[in-house]
Amino acid sequence: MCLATVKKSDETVLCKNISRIDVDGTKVILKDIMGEERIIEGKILMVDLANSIVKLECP
Amino acid sequence: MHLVKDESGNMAAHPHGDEHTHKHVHEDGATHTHAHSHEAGHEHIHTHDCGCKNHQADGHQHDCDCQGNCADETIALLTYMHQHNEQHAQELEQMAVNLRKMGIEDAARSIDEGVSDFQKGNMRLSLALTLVRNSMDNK
Repeated sequence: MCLATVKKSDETVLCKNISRIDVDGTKVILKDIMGEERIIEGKILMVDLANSIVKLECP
Repeated sequence: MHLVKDESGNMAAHPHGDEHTHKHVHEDGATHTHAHSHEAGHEHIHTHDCGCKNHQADGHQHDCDCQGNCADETIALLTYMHQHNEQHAQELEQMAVNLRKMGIEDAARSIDEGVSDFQKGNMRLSLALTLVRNSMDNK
């Protein structure tokens, strides 16, 4: 599996090169290849593994 | 010139005046913390050392698609891709083994040759990674 690009439902790119995604309640924790984390309030809408795209629904 | 935005992309209100530091996101996407002061308004020209090797002397002129630290990101990406390719090569080798067991020898052989070419390419990525690291060490 390749690194993922995380977008909002409106196609806005939130993060690139995401290597790990954790979900903690209403928070989605994105970790990129540099080890930097970004916590997004929202939920996972869709994961396209073939194209390495993850979409989030954010309030 | 830079505009200070918070995580959601909204203009971040903050007091003007004394020198201060805070984490902020520049409009070009670079996120970092450094000492600076604000004159009236949120826009001003400044210089700083954020660690990005692609900075011009007086601004944030990035030609590449990096997040502000091109060399480190390139090294991380190349390392990841090289290791990831190794995993793919192993999966393809197993695929060739399975095809051979199924009696589809020509396809198995073709995959073996493909894996060999794939690994040659991966060796070039490994060389590129070494060259980038050496280049950074020499700076």
